[in-house]
Amino acid sequence: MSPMTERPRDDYWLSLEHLARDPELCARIRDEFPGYDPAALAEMPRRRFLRLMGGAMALAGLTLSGCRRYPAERLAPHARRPEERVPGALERYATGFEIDGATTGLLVTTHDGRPIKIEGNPLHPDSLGATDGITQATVLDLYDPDRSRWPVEMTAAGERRRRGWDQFDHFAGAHFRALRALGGGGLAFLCGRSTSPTSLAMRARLREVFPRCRWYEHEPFDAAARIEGSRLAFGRALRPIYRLHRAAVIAAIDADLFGSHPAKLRHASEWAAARKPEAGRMNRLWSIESELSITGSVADHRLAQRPGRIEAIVQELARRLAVAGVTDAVPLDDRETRFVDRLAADLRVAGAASLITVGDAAAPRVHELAHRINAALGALGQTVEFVEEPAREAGTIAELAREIESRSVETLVILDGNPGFDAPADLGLAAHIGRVPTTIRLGLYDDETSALCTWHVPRAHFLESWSDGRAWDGAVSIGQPLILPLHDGRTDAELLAGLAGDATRSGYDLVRRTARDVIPHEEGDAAFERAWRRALHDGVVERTAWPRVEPELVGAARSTASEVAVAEGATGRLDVVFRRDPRLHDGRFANNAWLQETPDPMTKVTWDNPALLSVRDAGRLGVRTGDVVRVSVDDRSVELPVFVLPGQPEGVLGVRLGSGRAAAGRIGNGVGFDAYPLRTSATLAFAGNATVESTGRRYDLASTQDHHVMDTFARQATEKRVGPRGESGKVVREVTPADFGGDAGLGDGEASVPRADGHDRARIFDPPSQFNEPHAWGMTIDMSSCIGCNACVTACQAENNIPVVGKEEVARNREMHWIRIDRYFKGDPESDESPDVVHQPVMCVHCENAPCEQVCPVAATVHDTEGLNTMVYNRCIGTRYCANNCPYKVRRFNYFDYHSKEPGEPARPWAGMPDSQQLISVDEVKRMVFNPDVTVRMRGVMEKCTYCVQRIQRARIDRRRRGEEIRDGDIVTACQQVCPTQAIVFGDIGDPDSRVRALQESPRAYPVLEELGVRPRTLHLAKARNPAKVDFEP
Amino acid sequence: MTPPTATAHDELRGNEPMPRYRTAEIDNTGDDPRQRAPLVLGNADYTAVTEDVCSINERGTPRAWWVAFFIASSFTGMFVVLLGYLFTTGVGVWGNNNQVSWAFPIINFVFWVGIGHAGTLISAILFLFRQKWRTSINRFAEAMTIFAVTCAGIFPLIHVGRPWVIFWMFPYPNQMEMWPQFRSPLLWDVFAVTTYATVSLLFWYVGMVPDLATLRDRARGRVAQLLYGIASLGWTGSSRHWQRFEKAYLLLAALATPLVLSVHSVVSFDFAVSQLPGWHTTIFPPYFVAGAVFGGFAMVITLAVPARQYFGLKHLITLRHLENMNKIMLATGLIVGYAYLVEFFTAWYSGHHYEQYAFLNRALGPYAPAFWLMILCNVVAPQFLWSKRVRTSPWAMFAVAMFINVGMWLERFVIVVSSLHRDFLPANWSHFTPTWVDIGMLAGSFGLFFTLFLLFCRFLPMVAMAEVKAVMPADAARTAGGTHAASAAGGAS
Amino acid sequence: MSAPATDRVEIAGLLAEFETAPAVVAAARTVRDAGYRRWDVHSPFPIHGIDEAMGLRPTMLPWIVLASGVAGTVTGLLLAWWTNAIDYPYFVSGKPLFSLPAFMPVIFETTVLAAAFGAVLGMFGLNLLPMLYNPLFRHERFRRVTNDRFFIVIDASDPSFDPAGTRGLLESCGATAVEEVEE
Repeated sequence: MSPMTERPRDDYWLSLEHLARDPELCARIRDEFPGYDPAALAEMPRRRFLRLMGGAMALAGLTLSGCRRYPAERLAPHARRPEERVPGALERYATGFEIDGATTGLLVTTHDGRPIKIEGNPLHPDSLGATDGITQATVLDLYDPDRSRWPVEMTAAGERRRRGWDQFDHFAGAHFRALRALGGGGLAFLCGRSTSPTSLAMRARLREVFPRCRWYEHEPFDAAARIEGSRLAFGRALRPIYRLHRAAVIAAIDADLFGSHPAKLRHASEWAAARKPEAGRMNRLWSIESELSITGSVADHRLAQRPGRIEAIVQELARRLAVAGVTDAVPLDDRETRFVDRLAADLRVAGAASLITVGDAAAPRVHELAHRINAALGALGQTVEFVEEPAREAGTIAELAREIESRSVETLVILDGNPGFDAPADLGLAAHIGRVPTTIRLGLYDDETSALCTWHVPRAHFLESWSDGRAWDGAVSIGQPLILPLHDGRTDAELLAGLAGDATRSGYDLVRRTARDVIPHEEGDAAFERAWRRALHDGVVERTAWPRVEPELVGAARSTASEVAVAEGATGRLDVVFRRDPRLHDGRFANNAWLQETPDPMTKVTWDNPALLSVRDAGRLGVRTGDVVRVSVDDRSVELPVFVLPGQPEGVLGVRLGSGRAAAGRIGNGVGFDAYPLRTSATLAFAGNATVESTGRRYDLASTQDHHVMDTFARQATEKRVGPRGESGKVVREVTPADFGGDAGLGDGEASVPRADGHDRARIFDPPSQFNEPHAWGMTIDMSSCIGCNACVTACQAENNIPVVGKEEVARNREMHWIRIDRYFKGDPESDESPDVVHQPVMCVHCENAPCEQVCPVAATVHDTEGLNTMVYNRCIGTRYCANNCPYKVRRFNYFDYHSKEPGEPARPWAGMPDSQQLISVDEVKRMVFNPDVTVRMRGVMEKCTYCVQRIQRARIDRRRRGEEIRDGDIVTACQQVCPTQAIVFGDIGDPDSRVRALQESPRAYPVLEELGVRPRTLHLAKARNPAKVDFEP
Repeated sequence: MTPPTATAHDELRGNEPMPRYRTAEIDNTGDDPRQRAPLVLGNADYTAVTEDVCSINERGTPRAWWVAFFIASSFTGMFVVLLGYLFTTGVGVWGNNNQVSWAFPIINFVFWVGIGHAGTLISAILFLFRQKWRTSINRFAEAMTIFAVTCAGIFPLIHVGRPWVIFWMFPYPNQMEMWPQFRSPLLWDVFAVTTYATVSLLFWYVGMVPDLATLRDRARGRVAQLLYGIASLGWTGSSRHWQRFEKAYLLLAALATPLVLSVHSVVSFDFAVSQLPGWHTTIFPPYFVAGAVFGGFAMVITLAVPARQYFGLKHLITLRHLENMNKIMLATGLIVGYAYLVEFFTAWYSGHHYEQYAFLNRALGPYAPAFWLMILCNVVAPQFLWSKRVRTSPWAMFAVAMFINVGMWLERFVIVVSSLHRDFLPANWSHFTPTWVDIGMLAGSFGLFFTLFLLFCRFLPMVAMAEVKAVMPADAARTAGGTHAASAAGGAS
Repeated sequence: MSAPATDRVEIAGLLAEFETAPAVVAAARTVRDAGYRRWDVHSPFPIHGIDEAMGLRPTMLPWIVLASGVAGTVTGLLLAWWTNAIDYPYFVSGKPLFSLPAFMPVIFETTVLAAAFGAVLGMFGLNLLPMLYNPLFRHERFRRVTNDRFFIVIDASDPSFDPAGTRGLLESCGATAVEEVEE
């Protein structure tokens, strides 16, 4: 806390002082507000505290809304024109978020000038209205009290001093004027991959000013292999754009299409669109992978194999499909052969409607072969299109390291990224950076890299920045700020403009300047103005996607049986496969509590990154989940806890990078284990010949599922409920296209589906209501669309002010997420066949005969006339009987006041007025992220999914104001809105024309735990699998 | 065998200052139909009974009492401290979680309520059945009931998330115009337990009034006279009063009998009414009541054996009393064992998968040790009571009783935790481990129980003198003996 | 405390001590047959047959208990019905607003509670207790009434009371001691 108590003069509350007449108040606020020194809080009389806070908050609201740059810089609201702004009314603005060099279009909801919720932009090609969990969570970063708030300089003596921007500008001005004289000799820039027109323009601009400066790009997860692959196949750098909805058969080769691909949202959406058995559309997904990705988890056929074998398998596949030049057969083992046989047959049948996709981690040659196979099948231009890969005139981080070593770098400017943490270990970059005389780091956090630099300056969060960016296919979108920089950070462009000594330094001007060249428009400022307004409003600019190219293959594939055979070398040692953490990306989100607490899609582990091990390897090594092992590759070694994961390829140790940060912030420090030290520039994808030995130590992993070792009977019971491989169980039902026509295997989903007309089985008494006055809210969850990506979990957390509980509490099974995605494995974990995976999202199903209600002694949970099982928080006394009696166990109890509890620490006692803890002890800045439409629950009350009742009310009010009836689609729950595959549909099941009604009448619809007769309003749609016919001729 | 009582009586003629019958163990458990075995042994005429019982209260406080009281009350102190910690920090200090939402607090609640039942059973049901032998132990057992219910009552109050609004459970007019929800078993509990506590208290107090009057009339100190005087409401032993007194007592017994059966039935509804496999079963009410009596008598034995030994009440709380209680324990123990069996049978016979797994898991799952230990304590241990040697040897039966005390707590643990931790959807199966606070509070509640009990022994008549006297045969010989004693006593005063 | 009674002293009645229950029962019969109305027998425990010996009529207590019990039932029923079905109705688990079966336990408990209070308060009421002052307490001898002695007290206000005659009667039927009770 101490660094924040003494605040810089120029932070974002400055504006308050302009507004506030009373200097004493301002002084108070300056000390008080984001300073929030608990000591000060404690000694201040309560009334006075509240008065000042009241004043502060009022002014804050006023200021922030008043200070939005609308009048000055013409921000265009998405929904309605700001002249009509009603204080307290929600507004949505279009913006964009760039990660991995691709920008996703967003619509951000603001409340009185505070961004509180992020949604996808339906117009944007890479969003289509959806977002992923990470993007959802970035709003929490915005209000992260740990963000860097002021420039820091490292003195000659080596201690780091806090500075002001003026001091930095003064230094930078002089320094770069000097450099300019040298033409920028010895000046180097290190930045992340970006396709933002403005960033590229600034790059060009700096090349003008400093002709001799050099640029380097670094992303821990690079696409070099993919680009190299396309060069091998087509002779030039091309970017494949997959069109999954056109494909009948898709083979994903180490490709996490839905998990880590920049266009994952579009992929998921297109894939799911072609997976509607009742509509007669059902594609088939084959997966060959060296990890268990969510893509693999929803594949109809999956082959888990060591990364070293993949090239061989693909080459054999290419041979089967008569790819020119691939002649030599490669020895495959039975499992591989069986798989390739069937895959090849399936692809041959599908022909042009098939698609081979390859992940960035795979070797260039695999990419090449994939391109050639697609060509051979005639898929080019059908299921896969190409655009020119945007050229990157930049060196690699390895080159930078060499340059520094040769003492030819005098000044290094690091824009964002965190190379001090995630650079390949062999480069020893940390040491190198230290050796550069002048290093300037622009970063969101004062992190590992900043600590090495002579200057650290705060970067503006993207919600505070003017920016632009390109979608995966090149479509341009403009990012507008939603709030003034809370900590006075600057954007990359703003900083560079400053270094270049340009006059125009404001982000707005810079972006607008590039926009003139990027946004197509007729001549004339007025025309541009219109185009610009439209771009801001839509969030994406039409006709800006890169032109499609029809590439020709060059040469023929070399067939390299020998090399492949070598790669096979199964030495009994393990391959260590490096993957980004599905929750924390490459580690840059490590200080985000929402993401840390999001369960891993497969292991369901929170707050950790255990190494994944197959059941057989675990047996061989004599380790079980929770054992700490030492993993050594050559002379490098790290210690990691193990998680034994069914479906993990044998012989592969799956390592998730990004955890174990040392300088992430209060949330992320020391959470998990840092595995980057294992990873060298030679082994970016995987490292072979790793030795793994148990240290004999145990480590507690906090998982939201499987809190215990499964005994035999438990396993049998689970199988009975989940169903044996490929069959339906009691709670998880499965279908195959064969079932259509009749709905065999589905059981009668019909009879117990609640009907608005009250048609139902015999009951012993008449219900007091049909719960359909005037609407009958209901939901369907399609298990065949769900990819288990967790976006809904985070979206729900953001929408409903769900607290973070911390690892200890999760370990006690007290996580608060309203949505669980239950992950089940089917099949024998010991067997060759990779197990089937089921993702079953479960939240409150709003039973009409809700068992929770009758046991509540104080009627704190009751039904409304529209079928909502409502929770009356302030009536709840916390007997927890409702939770006991809930067969779905979807109720969550506030065992502590989680909002006022730091995730890492035990709950603090509260001697004040009961129920007032969070009102007083929740950090003021953190509090800004709360959704004002949703009660923040206090300690000791029960909570659960409400079907987003606040959204229902908002829609109702909006319609009523216009004197209209609610229409189907007016109400979109947070989970539904974010879902890339539209697996969740909400609406009025009483309305015969509603989408949800149609889905509830689908033969796939069934109530989970139907036999209990609780008449849930949420129905699940049976999981549809599409296995290839077994009887085929290879 | 021949009833030894006559000889016993003879050899115990005359009254030594510390007569042997106080320490000697006399077997009066003979069952010769021709000879009703006496319920009071030795040279016990009215005076002696009064002496023996009141002297316990009138003698100076023994050191052993102080030691025991110090230990018990320090546990009570710990309990209070833990309550403070709980209220300020939140119920999360317990081990409960989202899956196992109920654990120690509710287990302790059910356990203590169960203990209470023996008291009411002895005082009410045995009274209706004219079981005269109850007279010398009923006071004692009723006191135990009150204290057990006190301990029980605390847990539901503190186990809720917001104890400071617990009064919302009671139907009182309020400006929110909200009322409790009468369909909830928890609300039934509120009514059942409060009624039970109140009626037990009334029953206990009413029965004690004449004995308080005795203490009043013997009291030397001013304070004692005043306090006992007020407490005894000016009782004069008027026969007109006795008439109504006996009627009232009879009616209270008649009311308490269905009440005691209802209370534990209602408690069992907390589980039976829910639809959780392992809870949702119709056998619970009788099974719980039997279990309560079973465990309750075990606790009476646990208290009575040392008490009669230490306070020299062997001639009032005789072997016969103890043996009768053992017989009841054996009987109810068999019922409980049968209930365990039937639960499993029903589960298997139902063909209901979830039900079947719930019991499979109970016996073979992670909590199997608790289950089998429970079987050992509640089903195996009581079988020793078939042997008369065990039934009539105080310390043997004490050992059995201890097993049963443990077993009955475990029974509730098994029912609550092993059913909750794995229910319908395997994905949210979970595990429960108690925290140190859980354990501390359990220990603390025992502390409270014994603290109250020690205070009772010290300041209130442990045996219902009036009732004992009423069942003593008033034959001339005895009264002659009585005259001796009386004159002696009279001379003394 | 055997001071010679002067005429001034107002005699409240006579207190006779007996040693055994049978003795006092016999004496009670005599007193009853002598036609006394305002008198009483005091004993450490309820003596069998004393009611008949004194000619006491059965108490009305059971009717009080019945009445209060019925009152309890009605209260419980009305409470559950009015609060849950009339004053504050809400949908719970799709059950009827007035679900009588679910209300039964509460109704039962209120019945028992009310009846129990009826019994206890009724008993003390009829016995005019608490009555902390009682002239009998001034007799050292009377202290043993709660221990091992039996007493007959005849009130001076009894129509057929006369100090000498009554004392004679009592001594005649085996009283070990007879004392005058003073106001």
